[in-house]
Amino acid sequence: MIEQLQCPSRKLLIACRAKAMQGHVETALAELGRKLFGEERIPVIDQIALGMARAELLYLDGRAEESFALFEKSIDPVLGAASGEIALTVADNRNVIAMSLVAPKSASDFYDIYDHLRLAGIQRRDLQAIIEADEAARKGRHYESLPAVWRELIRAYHSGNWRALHWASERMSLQCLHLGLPDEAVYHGIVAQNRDMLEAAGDFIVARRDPTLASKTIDKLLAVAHLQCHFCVACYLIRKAYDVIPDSQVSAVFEWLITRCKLPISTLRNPQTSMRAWETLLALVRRLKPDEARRAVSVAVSHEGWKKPSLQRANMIDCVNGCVALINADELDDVAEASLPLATDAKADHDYGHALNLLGHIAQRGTPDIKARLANALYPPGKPTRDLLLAQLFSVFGKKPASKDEISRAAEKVAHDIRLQVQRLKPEEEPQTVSDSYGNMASTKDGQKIVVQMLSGTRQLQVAANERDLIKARSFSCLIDAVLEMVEEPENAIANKSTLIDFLAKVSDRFTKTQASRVFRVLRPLAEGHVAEPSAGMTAAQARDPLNPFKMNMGDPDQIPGLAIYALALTEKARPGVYGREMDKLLVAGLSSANGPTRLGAIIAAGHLPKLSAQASAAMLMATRDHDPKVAASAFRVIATTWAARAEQTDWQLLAHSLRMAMQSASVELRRAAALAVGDLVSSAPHEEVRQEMGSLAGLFAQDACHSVRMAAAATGGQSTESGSGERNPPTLVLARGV
Amino acid sequence: MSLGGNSNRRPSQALQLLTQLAQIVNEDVHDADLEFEYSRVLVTCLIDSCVYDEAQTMVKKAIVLAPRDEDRATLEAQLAELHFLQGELDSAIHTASERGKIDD
Repeated sequence: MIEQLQCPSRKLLIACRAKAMQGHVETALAELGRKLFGEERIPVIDQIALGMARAELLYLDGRAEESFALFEKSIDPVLGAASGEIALTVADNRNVIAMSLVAPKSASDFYDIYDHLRLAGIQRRDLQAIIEADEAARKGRHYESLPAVWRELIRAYHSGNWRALHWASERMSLQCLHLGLPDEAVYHGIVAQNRDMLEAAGDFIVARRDPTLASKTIDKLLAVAHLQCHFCVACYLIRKAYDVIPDSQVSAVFEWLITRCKLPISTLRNPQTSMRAWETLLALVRRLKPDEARRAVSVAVSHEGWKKPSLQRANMIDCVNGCVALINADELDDVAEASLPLATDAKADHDYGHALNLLGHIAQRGTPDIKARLANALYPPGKPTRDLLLAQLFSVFGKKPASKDEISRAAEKVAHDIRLQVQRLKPEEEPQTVSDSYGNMASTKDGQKIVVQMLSGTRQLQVAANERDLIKARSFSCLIDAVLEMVEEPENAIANKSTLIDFLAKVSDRFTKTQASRVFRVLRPLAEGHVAEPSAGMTAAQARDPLNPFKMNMGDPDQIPGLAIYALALTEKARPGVYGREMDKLLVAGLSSANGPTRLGAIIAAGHLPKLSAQASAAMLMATRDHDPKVAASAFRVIATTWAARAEQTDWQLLAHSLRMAMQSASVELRRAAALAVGDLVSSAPHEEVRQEMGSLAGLFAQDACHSVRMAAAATGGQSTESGSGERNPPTLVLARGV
Repeated sequence: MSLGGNSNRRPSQALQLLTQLAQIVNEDVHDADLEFEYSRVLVTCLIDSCVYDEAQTMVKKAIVLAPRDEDRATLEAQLAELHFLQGELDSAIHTASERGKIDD
């Protein structure tokens, strides 16, 4: 189609598309309009092509209704004079917009058009060429595959068919990534509006760790992703690669985002530009300068989406929460004022937990006056707190439950509800309802109806754990009995058991010796890996089966042994010697388990034990080279804080080698943990030679391509946090565990 | 043989043939029209081979050789499209605007 146009029209199309992509969409639309509606008469095919270009730009800029109307106004009146092939191209392009608007019949029209294209012998894509290109690429012959895909791209552009161009651009993007050209992959991925390609390009620059390449890629993205649909898809790269964006480009990315944060509330039918902008700003928030953080807060609290429930409000709230850490405490008064309604007058279920996290953070960082004001508003004097999320924040706001009696009664009620997680009933009986449940699973076994309540009591258990010191011994014992009973219950869901064991870990400092022994008896088989799945529902293996189209995740049994070891280690910490040698055996077995989550749990557990055997210490050191980066990262975290004092000279040499290996890892998490460890190890090094070696490693980590690794390396020993800022982590509520 | 860019054709082979022809066209036969036709075929071949730098150099050369305004305009449009599909937006605008009278 395009090759049939007059040359000025062909050139105008290119110029206008390029200008629109660079952010001058109104100029482009005006240019096209002048040509279309000017005095000069142009051929019908040119009118159609220029009209479709206008429609496409409107659609890409989030104005799909206008775009759709333009087809009716400018293209339909002249379509009768066009060939059948062009009419089908127009119908196909119009269908792209209709489908984005979820217009009635748009899906059936899609298949009608597809049939007509086939009957007319028109191919949207040259499948033979693409198969040959794929084959060549698979064999590493990119000198053959790239030209084939490139020819397909040109063919698609000349066809005037948007879907064909998107599809060819996606293939081109993939080729560019294979060739190590992420900047070019980004351009084609944006034209294709393909999220997967942008994410892959993001992963690529993170793994490559080349600041020049990252900078070139970000430059390209900022140059071409201005139309709203293009912006939305480009956000996926930033969310993957925020850590590797060079410092010098963070402000430019911030400006690119904040402009779109101001756009009106996203709906399900528009490109959701504002929502994507807030989501992406959230990823970048730790890298903002204080002035930028202030601007982000100001834009958020004055946005219409802040004052009334909206799709993006949770992201906006989290973003402001991140900014709170960057703003001076005496500036938080206005933020508190603007944020309080989120948990009161303008409260909405879907973001209420986020709002409370924000208010808790403001209370933690703000002046005592702000904290008192928030506390009074959230916990009105004389009114008991029934809200389980608010109840989790008692300590953050300096509040206490009304009395020991009240919290003890609540604990007994929780024990009662926990026992209802699994109900064995007669076939005709109905299960007792439980508050805070995410639904239930029913099955029949040996003539009995078994009903399992999913994740019931999660929030209540969190409140009980927070206020454990106020629960009377008898009530506490009753609660522990119920929890252990349900951990042992063979029909209970794995997700429920995870929550229960996590609770045991949190309250382990209150166990009596008898309770500690009972906990050991129940958790030991689990810690050893004897985890049976319930007969009802789907097993984890079934849920992971790629051939199973109906997946239901009822919890991962692989997580249980590590959790059990962790809970037992915390009990041992609270009562040194209560498990003694038995604990060490479980720990060593866990550290050398073939199961990654078990090793992970054992490593975290080791960090809490007052004493490690030589075997456990050696296993910990080996864990810093674990093939699973998450496990190795945890080993570094634990070693940095607990192991150094007991290490021998050879251990330090081995550890230095592990750190050098970690430095080469593609995993940012591992490099960050290693960099943090170096910061701590410098101060605990036994003599000058080791100190110097650790210092030089810290210097190397400080040059890492990732911002978070550099910050971790810069953090001083003993004060480091994951962010490297040395600040206390803001409170985080337990909303629910994912099933 | 065909010099097109369809999947079952080999622009790289065509390029080899064109290289052999270059001497005849440029040195042995002094015919401006033939030289232009040769450049135009070479442009098609280079574009189909996905050799961007060489292709744009040859298009610019062919534009100079073009005997008619119409041929020149077609080549300019082709070059603008080449830049655009390559993601070189500034070059695309510049090339498209030079004679397309588009102001920013």
